[in-house]
Amino acid sequence: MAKSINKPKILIIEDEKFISKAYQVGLAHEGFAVSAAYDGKEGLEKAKKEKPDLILLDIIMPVMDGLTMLKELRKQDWGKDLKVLVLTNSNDQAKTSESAHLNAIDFLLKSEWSIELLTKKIKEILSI
Amino acid sequence: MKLRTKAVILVSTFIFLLISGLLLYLDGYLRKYLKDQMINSLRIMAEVSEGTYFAFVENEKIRTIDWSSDGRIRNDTEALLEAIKSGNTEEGDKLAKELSAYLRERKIVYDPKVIIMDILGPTGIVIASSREDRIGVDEAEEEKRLNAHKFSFAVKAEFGQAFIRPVIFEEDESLEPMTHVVARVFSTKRDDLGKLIPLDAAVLLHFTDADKINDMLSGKWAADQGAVSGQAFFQKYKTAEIYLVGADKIMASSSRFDADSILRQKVDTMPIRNCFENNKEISGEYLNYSGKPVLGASMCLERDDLALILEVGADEVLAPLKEVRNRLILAGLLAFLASALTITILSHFLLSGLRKITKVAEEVGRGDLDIRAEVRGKDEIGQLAKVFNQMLGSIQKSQADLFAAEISLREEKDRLNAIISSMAEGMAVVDNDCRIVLLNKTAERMLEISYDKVRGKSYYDGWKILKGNEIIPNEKRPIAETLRTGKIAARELGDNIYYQTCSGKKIPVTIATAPLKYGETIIGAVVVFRDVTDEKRLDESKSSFISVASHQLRTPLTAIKLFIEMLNTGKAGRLNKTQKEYIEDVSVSTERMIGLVNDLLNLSRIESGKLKAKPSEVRIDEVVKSAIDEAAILAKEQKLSLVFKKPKNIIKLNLDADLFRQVIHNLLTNAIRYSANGKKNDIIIKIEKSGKECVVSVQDFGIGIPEEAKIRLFDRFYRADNAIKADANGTGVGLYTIKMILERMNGRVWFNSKLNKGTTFYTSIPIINE
Repeated sequence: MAKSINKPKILIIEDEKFISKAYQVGLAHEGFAVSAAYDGKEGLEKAKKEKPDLILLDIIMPVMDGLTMLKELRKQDWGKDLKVLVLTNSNDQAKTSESAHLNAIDFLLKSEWSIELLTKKIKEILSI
Repeated sequence: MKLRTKAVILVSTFIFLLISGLLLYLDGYLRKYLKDQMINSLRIMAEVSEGTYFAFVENEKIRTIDWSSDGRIRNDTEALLEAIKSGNTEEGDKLAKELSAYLRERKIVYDPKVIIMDILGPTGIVIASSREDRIGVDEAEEEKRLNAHKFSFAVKAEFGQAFIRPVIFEEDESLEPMTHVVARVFSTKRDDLGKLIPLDAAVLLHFTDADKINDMLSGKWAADQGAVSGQAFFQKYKTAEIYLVGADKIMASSSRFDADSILRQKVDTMPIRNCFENNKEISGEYLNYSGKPVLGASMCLERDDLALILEVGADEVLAPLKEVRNRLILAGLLAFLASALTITILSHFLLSGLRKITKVAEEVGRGDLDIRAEVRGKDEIGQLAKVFNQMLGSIQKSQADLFAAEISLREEKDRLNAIISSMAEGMAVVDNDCRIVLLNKTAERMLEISYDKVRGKSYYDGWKILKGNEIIPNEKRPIAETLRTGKIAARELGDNIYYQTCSGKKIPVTIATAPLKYGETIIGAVVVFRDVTDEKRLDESKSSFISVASHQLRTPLTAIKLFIEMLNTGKAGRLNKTQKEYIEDVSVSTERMIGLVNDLLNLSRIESGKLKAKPSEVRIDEVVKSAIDEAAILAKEQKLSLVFKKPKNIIKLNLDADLFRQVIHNLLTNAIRYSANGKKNDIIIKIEKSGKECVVSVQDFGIGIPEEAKIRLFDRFYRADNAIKADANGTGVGLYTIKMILERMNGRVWFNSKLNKGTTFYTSIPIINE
């Protein structure tokens, strides 16, 4: 699991560069090993390669959206048990329930979550 | 059958029965009367005839006794007996000859009825006779053999006794039937007691007038003697006869109808048997010797071994009865005809009113309602006619009313049809078995179906209903719901309902079904549906707008928020005091902006119906408490205390806890926001049960609501002037959102407020199950 220096590995799949950057900087500062992908397809490839401890997944993205990516992930042997936290700004209830169906840990509204609160949540999930 | 015919039959039958009964009674009575009369008469006549008979035979007895006491006969017989006793045959023959000559020449010639006169010895042997050839004949033996006379009685008799044996036939003595009478001969000497001493001889007289008995009994003899009547009875009754019968049950006198019947006709009839076997005299009805029914009476002449019978043919006696019967039948027939005629005429007269009414009724049947029955009189038929005419009047009136009603109904129907067919909505009406009874033009067009083809068929077979892509089973269709519950069922845009036509085309629809009731009974349902393709498209674009807008608006805000946080937390190096102050200001503005976007998106979702209440059973105090906890920090900042007054009992409600918490949260933030400088620093939250509702109230002692603002308070984006002054940052959607949410929960919201004194907001939720 801790391949390099025992840091928990977090994959951020987020098309919005500024937000991705803020998460990368903020979470790295909190001591996580962070990598980033900017669409679902890239995210799927990186997830396969890196096997992160947690994926932060946006929904609305170009090339491949978050739910499609999650569906694909759950089809894979290596991906079916990966921890996924959906982080989105879309208020779509249908999507919430679908992601819950695909075994996402939670469905968070990005605008309501500061880095501080998010870190707390991640640590809770990873039991740190 | 006509009433008249019935009456005639009834009355005639009654009279017929009456007359028949009377006839039978009279017949029986008369028959008995006539018989009794006749039998009575016959008995009396029989008794009289008996007397006549006795008188007749007494005559012959007297003759015999008279001649037996003739001096010459007595003396000669005494001498003859002496000669026979002494055995002096010569003297005996001489004396016998002399006595016989005397008898022949000086005795029997004086009575032509006497044909033979015998003198019998003590043993019954003829010792002298008017016919000398008879001397020596043994009459005792004849008595035994033929019962020809009663010599054995005579030899023991006293003076004055004679014994008769009527009706005997002996060919050697006479060709006619005879009567024999015997008497003892006495001497002139008397014994010690003074009685005449008998000789050992008897006189036997043979009378030849036995056939005279008939004449005598029938009265002919009396008539011959010069009597005025005597044969009246026999002249009147041609079948009447009187005769004697011997103990051998052979006729002892000749029948009136057969002169040769004497001593030949066997008579073994009821009175004869009774006479000789029981010694009983009979009068009554029975069958005579020739087997004919007769009325008769008998007299038993025991001493002479004879029975006297007097009979009349029953038919002849009862002949008058036949006459009476015929006359009665004729009279009955006449009475019957007369009564039938009377009833016919009477009923014709009485029922003429009824016939008129019938005629009028027939006319009415053909459609003429103007006609009336012209019947006068105050009897029942008159009354009937009056009521009948009144009835016709009211029929005429109701027919006119009906006609008018029909016209107005037709107009109403035409109007309704016009409305239904020009409706933009599709409409279907079903009966309580869910069979289609109406389909309007819009429905036909929308569903690509012809009403004529589905009329009377099951509504469920007409077209399918889908929610999204799934077919809704029949029992869950709104129409089934309405028919089952009798309540209105509706499916709105947000319910995502489609109709699928036969060709497989899917049409998005909104549906409303309402029950058709007759009293409390559900007799069918009306379905109104609308093609909402356009609305659906609009809704979809709105949804996607909300989705996109929420994403697009929030994304830059999120980025700003995150970088401010990083600046604030020193992740990009330390900030000086002024920089930090400005960054704080940017942070507040950003949070406000995020809040505003959230509010607007929330509202948009509620309005579009995307926000669905998900009710579950919850404790209301717990829901309210969580909202209070959430607002506690804000209240503390404003130095206000939240006072929670819990209900005494636990109240459980079926509601969406998250939505209701949002309602209370909004009320609390408002109360906190507008309580600055209030009279009291309390905000009181109260839960109460009120009837079938649970009321949650939030009371503040803040700025209050001005009168002019009260009406518009729940309008979207509206804010009261004093509220804007107190806090410029409100959006004006809070109360509007509360109202929308509560409407979805079937709840209510209202308030009491006084300017500068404070406000109380009330929300209520219905309690469905306690």
